[in-house]
Amino acid sequence: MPASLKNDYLSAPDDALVGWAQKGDTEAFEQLVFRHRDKIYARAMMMMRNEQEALDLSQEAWVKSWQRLHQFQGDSSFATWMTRIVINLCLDQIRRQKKMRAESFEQIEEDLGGVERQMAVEHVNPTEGLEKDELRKRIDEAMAKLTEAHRTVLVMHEFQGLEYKEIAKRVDISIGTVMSRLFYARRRMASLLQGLRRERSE
Amino acid sequence: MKANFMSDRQLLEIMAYSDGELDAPRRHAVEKLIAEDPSAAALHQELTACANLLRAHEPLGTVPETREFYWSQIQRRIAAEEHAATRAKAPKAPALGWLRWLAPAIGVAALALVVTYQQRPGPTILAVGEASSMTFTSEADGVTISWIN
Amino acid sequence: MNIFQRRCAPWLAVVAASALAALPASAGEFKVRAQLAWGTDDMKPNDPALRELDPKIREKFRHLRWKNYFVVKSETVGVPQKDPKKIQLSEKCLIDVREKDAMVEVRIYSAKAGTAPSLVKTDSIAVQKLKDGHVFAFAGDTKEKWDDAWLVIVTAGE
Repeated sequence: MPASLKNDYLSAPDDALVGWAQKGDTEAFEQLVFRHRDKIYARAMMMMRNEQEALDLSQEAWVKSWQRLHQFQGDSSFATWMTRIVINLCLDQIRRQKKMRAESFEQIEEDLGGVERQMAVEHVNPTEGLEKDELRKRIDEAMAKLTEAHRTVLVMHEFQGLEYKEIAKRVDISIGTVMSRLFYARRRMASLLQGLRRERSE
Repeated sequence: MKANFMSDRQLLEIMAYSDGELDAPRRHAVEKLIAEDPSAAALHQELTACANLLRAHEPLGTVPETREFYWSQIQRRIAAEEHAATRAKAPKAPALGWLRWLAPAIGVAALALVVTYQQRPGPTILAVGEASSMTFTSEADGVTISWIN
Repeated sequence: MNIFQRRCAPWLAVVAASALAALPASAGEFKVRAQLAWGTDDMKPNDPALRELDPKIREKFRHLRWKNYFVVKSETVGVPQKDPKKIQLSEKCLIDVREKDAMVEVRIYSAKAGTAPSLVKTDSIAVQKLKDGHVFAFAGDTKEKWDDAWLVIVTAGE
């Protein structure tokens, strides 16, 4: 790319940067990394709850994306495509860790009829005098208290926007298990967010 | 308010309803339940509000490294993998070079297989390694069912 | 509603394999019939390859809650006494059968393209029970559709 066009990187839309990067332009790719690195890192952090792992997996996601850039057809936004890659890497990593710890995703107690069925219904009010940043922080704190399996399903559904069926395929569990985990995770989040609100108001 | 008189199925269907995952007959059944049962309505409200709250306030994060350092690490990893891939390709014996002539046929066959399987509503077995299961036997009916979780 | 029904009721997906009791095709070898089936409340899809499950077997599943059971694949094979006989019921479902101590041992595997099949579950059923018309099945939730089930049904071969 001629030097005169270099400033275009800053203002170019993602699609244009992707097109240049697909032709081997590393500077265009660097600009994509710069634009989306925080989001990709945040998604990995939400899944792994470990800064070093999140950093490593987010970088791995960028490496994979460079290698597979020719496969990106623009069916979704580049950011969505990237978050899909990082989520898949996180799922692989979680599976490896589970094997090492001789645990199974399937061993989690999640029978309906358990504790979440008995929980009182909470009235979650997101606008109750809280700044957005404060609310994000509280949500992050509450998510840290979920089990890995419940958090994974919640992230994939609420933040990745995947349907039950898609989550089931990716995590390799049944749709019923996706639903029971999501149900538990949401009810627990509602309860945790109420609890955090109460703690801070005291 | 407790929701403990509803069946497991109803609880999950209330959530599936709020997520737009139900077909029309079940959607209508849940709408009726929500209209008639205050605890079902409260649960629906909680699940929906919680999901909306999360979607609108996804926790943010900031890469704890400078832009330059972060990018240099990615560059180094890309270069290392490209180098490894080049080395892996180099010493391969050319003995199977004739296989490339089969590539189009293999591609067509693979596509045919994919199409065949996509059309078939065949179920998928859970890959769970050492699956937990529950066995039901009825000698009177002459049936044993091993339910795999 | 018993525990089994309660457990199964919310999920819909069925793989059925039936290994049918042994007719001595050659000395000491039984024939088994394995069927992969799909349990659903939906109507039959417009797929001529699918057929409805034999009503006699269907009746034995009255403890399950699905309205319809469609057979995806059916195969009858001899049950060897040494090396297990593999039966590929779908792209992702493989079982093998062998006779051991007057029992038919059935193992179910999950298969994925490009990877070795992984064992999911092993179970056994007496040869005599199969001969007497007993039906054995592995079953579970499908991942494809909420509220459907798969079954692998084993009955005596004919």
